[in-house]
Amino acid sequence: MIIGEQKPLDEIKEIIADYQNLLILGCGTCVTVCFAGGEKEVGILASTLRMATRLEGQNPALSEDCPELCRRVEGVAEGKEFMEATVQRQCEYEYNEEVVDLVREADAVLSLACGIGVQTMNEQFPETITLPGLNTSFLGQPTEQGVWDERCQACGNCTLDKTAGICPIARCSKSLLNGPCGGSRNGQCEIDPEIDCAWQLIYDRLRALGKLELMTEIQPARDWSTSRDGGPRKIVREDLRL
Amino acid sequence: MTEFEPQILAFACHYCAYAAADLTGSMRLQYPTNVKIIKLPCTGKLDVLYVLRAFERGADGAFVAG
Amino acid sequence: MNYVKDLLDQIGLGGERLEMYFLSSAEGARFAEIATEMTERIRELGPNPLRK
Repeated sequence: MIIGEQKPLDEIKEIIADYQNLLILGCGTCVTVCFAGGEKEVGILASTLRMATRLEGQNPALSEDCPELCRRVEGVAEGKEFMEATVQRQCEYEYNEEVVDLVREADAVLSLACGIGVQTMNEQFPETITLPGLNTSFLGQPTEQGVWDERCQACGNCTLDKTAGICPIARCSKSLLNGPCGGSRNGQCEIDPEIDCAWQLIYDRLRALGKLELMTEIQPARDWSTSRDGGPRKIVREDLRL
Repeated sequence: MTEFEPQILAFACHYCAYAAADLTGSMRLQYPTNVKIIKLPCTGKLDVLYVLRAFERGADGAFVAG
Repeated sequence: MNYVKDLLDQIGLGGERLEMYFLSSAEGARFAEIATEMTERIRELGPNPLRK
């Protein structure tokens, strides 16, 4: 799934500084499962921002010196409103249709979806800006409670059949196709000893499967045009088109 | 100005802290009336949102007891 | 708990307004003690600035 992480509160406050009436929009798919942008996180962020903006509007120094100005500042900050909603999948127009009324009411949408969701919203509702509340981190897997690890780089040309089901592109720091390199130390990577050497994992698994001969097969230089080297990618399925 | 009387919420587990609070009463022990108890079936039922909503709506303090 | 305390700190409300206590059902006196302790702590911190 797509793993995301919420931006720091201060950055979010800066991003939404120019807008008064915001819709905080969560996504019910990947980012819900990695506890970054689901219904619950929308509720927590909305409540936190509501309190934060109200607290900032009440500047005690201003209230003593200049009550009038304070009231104005308070009015602005307290006027900030946060609506909350979560759609099943923010990367599809059909699901976002459900919140069209709320989007029209808002000056801006603060999306807690991945970068795909944010862009879908911007395409679908060009008259309203949708701002990102998350950083889209990587494609990965929850390896234990509260821990996520990268597993795939969407290179567009899967080689897992040759590498015992362990991806050297995503999991080897150098994306070597003919590994391991000389920096493999006791099963750990020289880039960071916290990282398991992907080629050690591949070797161990190939040996367990009795397929060590795959290690000696030389992988030729690869055509990376299916990855990002070929520019933005696109799939068209004529059989599915209407 | 009258003295500030805080409003404090106690999120209490039905089986431990709520029973303890009940016992406080049975033992005729006194404690400040500022504390208002909310019973939960278990402290595991507590949600971050319950606590945030409490503060958002003006609670001065809160504690969770289980 | 630490997560919420951190949030309260970040927005300037103060994490010390929130606390977690562990006690058994037999600790009636401890509950009264905690209630007094918290009331005193909050009295010192003053009212929640969000209260209208």
